[in-house]
Amino acid sequence: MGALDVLCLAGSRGAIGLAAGSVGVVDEDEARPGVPAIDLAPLLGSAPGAERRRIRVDLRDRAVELVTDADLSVLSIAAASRHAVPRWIEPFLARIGVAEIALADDAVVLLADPAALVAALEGGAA
Amino acid sequence: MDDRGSPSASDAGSVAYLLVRARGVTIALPSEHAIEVAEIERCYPVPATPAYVLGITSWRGAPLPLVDLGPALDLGEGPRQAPAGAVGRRAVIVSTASYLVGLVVDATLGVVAAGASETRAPSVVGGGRLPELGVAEIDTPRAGLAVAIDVEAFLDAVRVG
Repeated sequence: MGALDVLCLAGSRGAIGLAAGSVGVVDEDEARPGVPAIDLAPLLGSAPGAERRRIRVDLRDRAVELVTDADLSVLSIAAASRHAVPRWIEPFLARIGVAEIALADDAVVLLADPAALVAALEGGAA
Repeated sequence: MDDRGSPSASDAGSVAYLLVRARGVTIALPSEHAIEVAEIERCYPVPATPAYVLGITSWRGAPLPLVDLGPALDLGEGPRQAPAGAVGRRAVIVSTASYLVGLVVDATLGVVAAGASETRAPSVVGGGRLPELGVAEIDTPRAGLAVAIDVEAFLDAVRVG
């Protein structure tokens, strides 16, 4: 298992990593009429000074945008840094599609499946 | 991460407990579950969890959830603790058949051994979830009355938010 590149969204309530190949930052001038938007602020909070950005998530049959005030960065997560979710906290994190946790040098990043995260948010998980 | 709180050997027929304080109540944790007492050096917030989940830290190279014991037991009012505020507090790392968790406490008071004569059914000590989760009341010479909890049952009860 090699390194996993993730787009990391770090807000005041935590950091979530989405596989970089499945998501992308939407340019400010890129109009995407008809694409539903989901606000991530209730889940992640915001990062001081961060710009409000839109993250495109391409699902199997549609696209969704996640709107966030979190800090955005691309991280390369080494295989050795990826861990299973501790059993006690599984029920909470499973609700938002998190199946692994990455321990980076100065962060803990919850690795979420984008489709599961979107489904959870649309279902009112946050 | 320092200060190992290794359980002491107990007399035959008695049970060893690690005494901790949480929101003014003395809680007795069966020392068979206590692996270590550690000062929290880092704590990272985790979304979609109740307020008593302070976050996750790294312990022995793996993620470890940190649970604020007093609020999780619903022991009276207190300030909501931000994850950054957990830094410098003490956590008792507990291991049960199912879980490995850090219980964040206000203080650790030491290990006592309690035999049948010091142990009775729980009655009036504490509040919150203790009537439901307290399994014994222990009269300790140094810390007065303490409520022993079933750690696995407690972790089960607060796992579903």
